[in-house]
Amino acid sequence: MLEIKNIHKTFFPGTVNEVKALQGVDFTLEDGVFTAIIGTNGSGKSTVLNAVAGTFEPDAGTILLDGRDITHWPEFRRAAFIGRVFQNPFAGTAAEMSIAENIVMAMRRGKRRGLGPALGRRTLDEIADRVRELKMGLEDRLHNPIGTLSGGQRQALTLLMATWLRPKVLLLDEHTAALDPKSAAKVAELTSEIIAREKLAALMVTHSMQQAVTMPDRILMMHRGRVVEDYRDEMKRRVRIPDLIEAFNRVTKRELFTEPAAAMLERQYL
Amino acid sequence: MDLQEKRYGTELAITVSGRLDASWAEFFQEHLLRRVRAGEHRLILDVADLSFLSSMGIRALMAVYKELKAIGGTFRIIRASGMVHDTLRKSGLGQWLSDAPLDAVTPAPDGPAAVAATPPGLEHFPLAAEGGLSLEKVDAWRPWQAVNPQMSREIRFTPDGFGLGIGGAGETLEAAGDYLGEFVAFNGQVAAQPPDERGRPDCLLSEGEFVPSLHCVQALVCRGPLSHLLRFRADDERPCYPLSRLLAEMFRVSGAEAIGFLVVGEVEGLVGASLITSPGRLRPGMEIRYPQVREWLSFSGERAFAREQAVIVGVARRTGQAGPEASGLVPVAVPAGEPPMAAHMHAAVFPFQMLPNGRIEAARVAARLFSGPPPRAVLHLVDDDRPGNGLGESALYQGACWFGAITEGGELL
Amino acid sequence: MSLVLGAFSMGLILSLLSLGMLISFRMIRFTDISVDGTITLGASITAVCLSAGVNPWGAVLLAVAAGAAAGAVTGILHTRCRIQELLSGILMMTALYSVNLRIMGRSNIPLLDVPTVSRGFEHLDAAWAGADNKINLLGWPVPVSDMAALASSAVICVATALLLRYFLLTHMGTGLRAAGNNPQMARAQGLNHQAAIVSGLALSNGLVALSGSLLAQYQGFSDVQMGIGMMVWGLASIIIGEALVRHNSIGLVICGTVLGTILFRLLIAIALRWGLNPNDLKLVTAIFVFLALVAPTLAGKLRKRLCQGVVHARD
Ligand SMILES: Nc1ncnc2c1ncn2[C@@H]1O[C@H](COP(=O)(O)OP(=O)(O)OP(=O)(O)O)[C@@H](O)[C@H]1O
Ligand SMILES: [Mg+2]
Repeated sequence: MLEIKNIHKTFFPGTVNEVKALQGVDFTLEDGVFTAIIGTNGSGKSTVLNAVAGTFEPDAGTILLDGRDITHWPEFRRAAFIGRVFQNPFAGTAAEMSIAENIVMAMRRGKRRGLGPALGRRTLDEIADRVRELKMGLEDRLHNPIGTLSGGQRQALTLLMATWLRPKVLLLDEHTAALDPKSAAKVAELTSEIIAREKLAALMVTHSMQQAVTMPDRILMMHRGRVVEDYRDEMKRRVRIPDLIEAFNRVTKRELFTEPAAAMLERQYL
Repeated sequence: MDLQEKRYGTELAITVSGRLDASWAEFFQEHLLRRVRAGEHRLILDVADLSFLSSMGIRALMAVYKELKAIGGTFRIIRASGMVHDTLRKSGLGQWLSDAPLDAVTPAPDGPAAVAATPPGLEHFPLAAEGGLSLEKVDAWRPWQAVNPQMSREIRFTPDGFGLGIGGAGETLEAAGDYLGEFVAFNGQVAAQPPDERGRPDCLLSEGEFVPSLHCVQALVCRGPLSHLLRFRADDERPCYPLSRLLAEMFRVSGAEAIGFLVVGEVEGLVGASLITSPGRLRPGMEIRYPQVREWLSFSGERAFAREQAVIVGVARRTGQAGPEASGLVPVAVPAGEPPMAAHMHAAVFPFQMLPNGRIEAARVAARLFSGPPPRAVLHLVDDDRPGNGLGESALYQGACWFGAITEGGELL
Repeated sequence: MSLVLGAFSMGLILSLLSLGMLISFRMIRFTDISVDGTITLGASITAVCLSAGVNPWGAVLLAVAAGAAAGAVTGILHTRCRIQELLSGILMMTALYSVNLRIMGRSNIPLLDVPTVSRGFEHLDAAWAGADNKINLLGWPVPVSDMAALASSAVICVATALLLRYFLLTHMGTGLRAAGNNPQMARAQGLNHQAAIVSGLALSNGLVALSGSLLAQYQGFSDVQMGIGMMVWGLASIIIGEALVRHNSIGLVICGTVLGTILFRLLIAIALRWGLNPNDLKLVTAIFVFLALVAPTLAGKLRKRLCQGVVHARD
């Protein structure tokens, strides 16, 4: 269970470039719950994921994973419990290393990396078996540099790597956004399949309303560094794309209700 | 496929050539519906050069025909030959085929013509009506004070009246207290906005014995006949009609000092606000200022609901320089050369529906709107006159205003 | 013939430097210019030890340890103290200059008549040697000592290359390469990226110091200036090696680097023989590296031009 308690993050504090990226984000991700985060550009979705992954430490607030305070853990230490897939399909794999070498990195996520040979016969067989399940024909190309693959193939492999060892939390940051529609659909399908099979707790940032409505069990909507909507359980099952759009509009409408507008309405509204 | 247009009297002839098949049907349908929306309610399709008509093409023709039929327009197909003629006949659509030559003089539309001497773009139809409107007013709440229950009243919206205000349905005012929101009522139908940011407006329709009634903390209700109809349509000279322009025209036509009115029209943009927390929750001594007011009121924030259909109900009065301060009304923008006016208007927004041209009946139009898809919002219209970045007042492209002079209760304003 | 033999021995010794730089420049992608200092560090420690009568193998080990420590410090400057890569290298190199002077006590230590690692090989070679203490190599008489130097460098070089290959293919080595190839991915897979840089630099500079140690023994002296330009030579060798193999399997890359270094030494030997002024050597090397670095982009542009030319011509 991932508990995010009132985290704040301001970039470049005290300068003209100050950005209050997170202003008190507060939610709990229960085990086995697949949650999507939606929100306008710059609303802080990626920042939340980065805070969980440990790319930076929040200015205030705590992050608990299974009751353990990981707020101050470095990124690589948290990786033992957290799987990640990035928006950039090239970010999650080492381009010049082979498919097998990339995967073997994932097989040791959070474990000691010793002086034994990385790719033994048995390991290679195991890798080939799992890669075969992707049905992309990659099992015959295990020794090719991963940089020679397409973005969709790399993203599928990154997903496989992120979930090779069952993570306590899977973080997906717009991981289908940079793919062509067909690959995006394939990776999305794979995501749903793996999350359902392994009963993973996952946080997925997406700009696709369609994905938000169909894939997860819960939807969080962010705006200006806060969670403004939380659709879960029967609310989530009922929600449709127009409801989400309307929720977006509501938030922007609130934003346009400025102090001068309030002064005008004081005269005009009876 | 290629489309050419030519006007014959009140009819618009559209020459279709090439193939009308699945790949063109959608484009074709949209083009024709755009013409209908712009007021072309009498269409002729010249299909002499149409070589092929598929089922998709027929479906598009059907869609246009239905739309025209609903608003009393006409639709005929001329010079059909060979395959097209066969297809239409075999599909049972032979009634569309017409042999009348194109250059035959088309008769003028039925019914009495509009009274002349109105500015271009406007048509005035006097309605046979005896007497004026009587006004009833409820004034039990002013923002942001607590509701005064003694002054509130339950109002039954019988078909002879129309009105606007803030109210809620329930056994008692107590029970309705958490659901007080903006409403619009006309002809026994009520559209009411629940005071909730997520809420969808509700409709209460007269049905048999049932008469919708609301506990009102604010209301302006007119009863009596509407004596004028004014049709308006945007053109190149006047791209849209701001509400103040329509008000000024209604005052000019009716010659009255105070009027009650119903306007139905295609929206250019609406600017308004509606409650998102019921005023029933206000307690004496509470102070609501910015930013708390954002928890109570939602502001449209933009010129909203473009291209939808609005039903605007309102009451307005000319205020004159020396006239007494209008109560319950707010000064509206004043078009150049017109005397100052004040008004209170609520709008219910429905998905767009075409209106027939010419003289139309308010009750029929309203019944069709209220029985269709549910309204998208009900809001109190404001004139955002903030200098610099104000949104201005609401405006419509085209539609109809029904109105009459308020002869009883005008002093309440 | 002794020229070729010398170039081979030199090449084998310096290939250790190239392999070290292969780790820093190519594997962990750290532009480590402290190499000039660490190779001298290896040489000076060896010189001092040998002069003091320490076992040559012990001296070599000590040099390697010192080089590794220096590399680790460079890494820590960068990762912990957040100093830019280049600057950390420069700081280390500058500091090492004084350290080396301190170690040696003067700017130059000659190593005459001290036991070196090649001594052991002389006994072996002697078996084949004729009466004049020379070995007949393809018809050329070669002094036993030269042959021993060649053999010892070859053995050490091959052993190191094999060990290095094995290491880079272990879990740890794979992690190291991943950290250089894509730090973000490495961290996401739970690898301590900073630790990887520090240990990679330690390994790299350990190899460089090993090279320095053998160089001092082969040349018979250690000089505080001997490291100048070594980094560029190493880089040139790596580039030649890459051109030779054009493949990214670890074994081939290592082979390529060793061959590249030897080839580079041979080229230099030939150039010097043809009358190239030794003082110009570094300039020539620098120009070579420059050309190798810009050639790919230049070739690309040229090709584009040509293609455009073709298109225009067709119009
Ligand atoms: N490392 C950083 N340094 C400075 N500012 C940052 C950094 N990361 C994010 N921000 C700022 O914080 C705000 C929130 O960014 P974030 O990337 O979380 O938004 P997002 O919701 O993911 O948006 P998008 O949909 O565009 O991905 C933005 O204004 C962004 O510019
Ligand atoms: Mg983002």
